[in-house]
Amino acid sequence: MIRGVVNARREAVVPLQVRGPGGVELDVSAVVDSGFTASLTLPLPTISTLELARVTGGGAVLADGSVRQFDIYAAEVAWAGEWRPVLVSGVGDEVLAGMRLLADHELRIVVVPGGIVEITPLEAPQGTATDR
Amino acid sequence: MPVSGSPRTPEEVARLGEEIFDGKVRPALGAQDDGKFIAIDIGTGDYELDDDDYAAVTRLRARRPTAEVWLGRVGQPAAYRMRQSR
Repeated sequence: MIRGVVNARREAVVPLQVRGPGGVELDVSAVVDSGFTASLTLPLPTISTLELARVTGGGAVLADGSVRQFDIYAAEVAWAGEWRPVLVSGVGDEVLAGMRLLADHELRIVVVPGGIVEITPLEAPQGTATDR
Repeated sequence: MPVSGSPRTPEEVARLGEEIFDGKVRPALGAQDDGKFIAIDIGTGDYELDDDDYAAVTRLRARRPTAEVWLGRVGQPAAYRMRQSR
């Protein structure tokens, strides 16, 4: 389980450990963003510190409907006791954890400043809206 | 995955990738491919499709380690969706 906390802006923030191909490891605080469909964004200075390798170009549709293109890098995230390979979007100046990273997990957020955030792996697919 | 520096801007990579997708790839795709990620080598037009973004890019780069790659998503204007990034 990954545990975090809701900040004063009522954003759900979780601690993540990210590793680059050369073994450089960094602790980051990621805002859980259910509107972000990829795994992770990192600011370019952080990508540089981790010495991440650019593996592709790609883009995202923004909330206003426009498309922004950026470089995408390969990294690993510490997850459930293992290093998990992910694609990292090199865009923006904050760390966002997207829904691809959270796929097949349960996300619990107590939405008050200081509230708990818990990300728990699912044993099996469950709890879909159509079940109810 | 091997390193690939690019002399091109992300916008130029996207323009070339979308040209290849529209001209060569899209006619070969079916309804079952809708929503899949597509990694395209913009130098050769070679590509990989997968439900997983990492898998599509990794498989293409394994075959073409020096490729300049663009990642898109079939039926979508871009690979991902996000809010306006600060």
